[in-house]
Amino acid sequence: MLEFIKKHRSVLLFAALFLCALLLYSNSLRQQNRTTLFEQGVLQLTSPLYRAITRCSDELTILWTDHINLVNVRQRNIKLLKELRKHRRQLLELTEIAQENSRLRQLLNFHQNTKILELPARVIAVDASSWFHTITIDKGSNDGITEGLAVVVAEGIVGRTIKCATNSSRVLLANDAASEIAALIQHNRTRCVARGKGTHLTLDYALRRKDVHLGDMVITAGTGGVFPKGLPIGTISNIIKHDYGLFQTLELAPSVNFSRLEDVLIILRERP
Amino acid sequence: MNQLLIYFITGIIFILAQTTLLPSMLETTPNLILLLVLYIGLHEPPLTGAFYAWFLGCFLDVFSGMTLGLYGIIMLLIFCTTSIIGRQLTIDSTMVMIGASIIGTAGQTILLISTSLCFSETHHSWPLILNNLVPQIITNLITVLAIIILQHLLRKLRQSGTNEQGKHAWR
Repeated sequence: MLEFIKKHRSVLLFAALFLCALLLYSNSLRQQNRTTLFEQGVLQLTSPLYRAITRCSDELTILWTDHINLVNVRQRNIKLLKELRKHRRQLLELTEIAQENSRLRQLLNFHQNTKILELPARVIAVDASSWFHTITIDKGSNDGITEGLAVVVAEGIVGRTIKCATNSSRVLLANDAASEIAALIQHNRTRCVARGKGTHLTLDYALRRKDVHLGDMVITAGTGGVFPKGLPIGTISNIIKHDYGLFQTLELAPSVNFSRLEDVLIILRERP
Repeated sequence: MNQLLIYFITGIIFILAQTTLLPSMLETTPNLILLLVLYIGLHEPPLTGAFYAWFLGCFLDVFSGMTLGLYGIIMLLIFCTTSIIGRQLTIDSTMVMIGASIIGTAGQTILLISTSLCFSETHHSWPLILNNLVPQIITNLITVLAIIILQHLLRKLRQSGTNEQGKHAWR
């Protein structure tokens, strides 16, 4: 027996390594929303390096934009863009609130509005591969972040947190193939599921008989337990009606430009 | 152990470049960790190399996708294939590394699609992965060529430096 082990030592060791790799993968598949010690350690170790790189790139950007470019034009543009984003969000919120109000007026037991606790965070890295869509942010469990929290910007939803270390976390973007969000078409309240498809999203399970138009706003349904109700996901960009079947397939242009994310908000909890 | 540390530090530098600097400059970022695993496959002994490849794959998993161990298995299998084929070829040839980068990228895509179809819930993601194959091969190939050219330039510089030193010593 010992001789056999000695003779085939390399093969046995390699088989053991392969078995370990398989076990780790199968275990991770079952616990995808948990952050393992290895992940925490690596994220913790690389977090200061990411911060240093972000600081350096910030300094360089400031140097370029504020000193080499025209100072006033740049500043005014930033201010106007901020105002535009604010007003756009307000407009969307008002439309949603108006519709919500008309429905809620009919109800007797109307509960109080909820306030949302938000935490701003900075995007410090993007996904290491081209086919997955995740980002790394500079806030972690020390700031009260846990797995499964909604991440948004003024234009709409960004994604949800999937891995948390003490000072950094990873966010699964809404356009990733693994992302599924309970959604509503705003004008006719059709329920559907928004799935990530890389550059765009698709809306599955939207009933075929429902009247849907190009440019219709799609919002979160608030039923998945992650995203609060009424946050913009995107607008319908293509309608595919097959010859038969119960549902129609809708393509969605996301309201957020996922390739240009810099600062995001994490919705910690909705408090009463 | 020293070598593991070297590969670990190289892995960190590559990951930092792959996740921060390169995405702001390029549409498709080169998979530097894959290129490192291919290099290990051609230059390291099988058993230690396999461990390095698996470790680097798991390291990549921390910064990509949702499942720890996916890239671990993929890099381990890529290492094995490269190591077995690499032994039959002339290792010093730059053409081997160029070929390895093309076949390795294609192999990685096939393995990713297979694992997502067999084990993952996101089995509908395979067209996304396949769509990225050609740009990924081109980017990885350009990166390998750039590294080879850089290596040649450095070697030439070093050679000219030693020649200068030799001339001075002769005088």
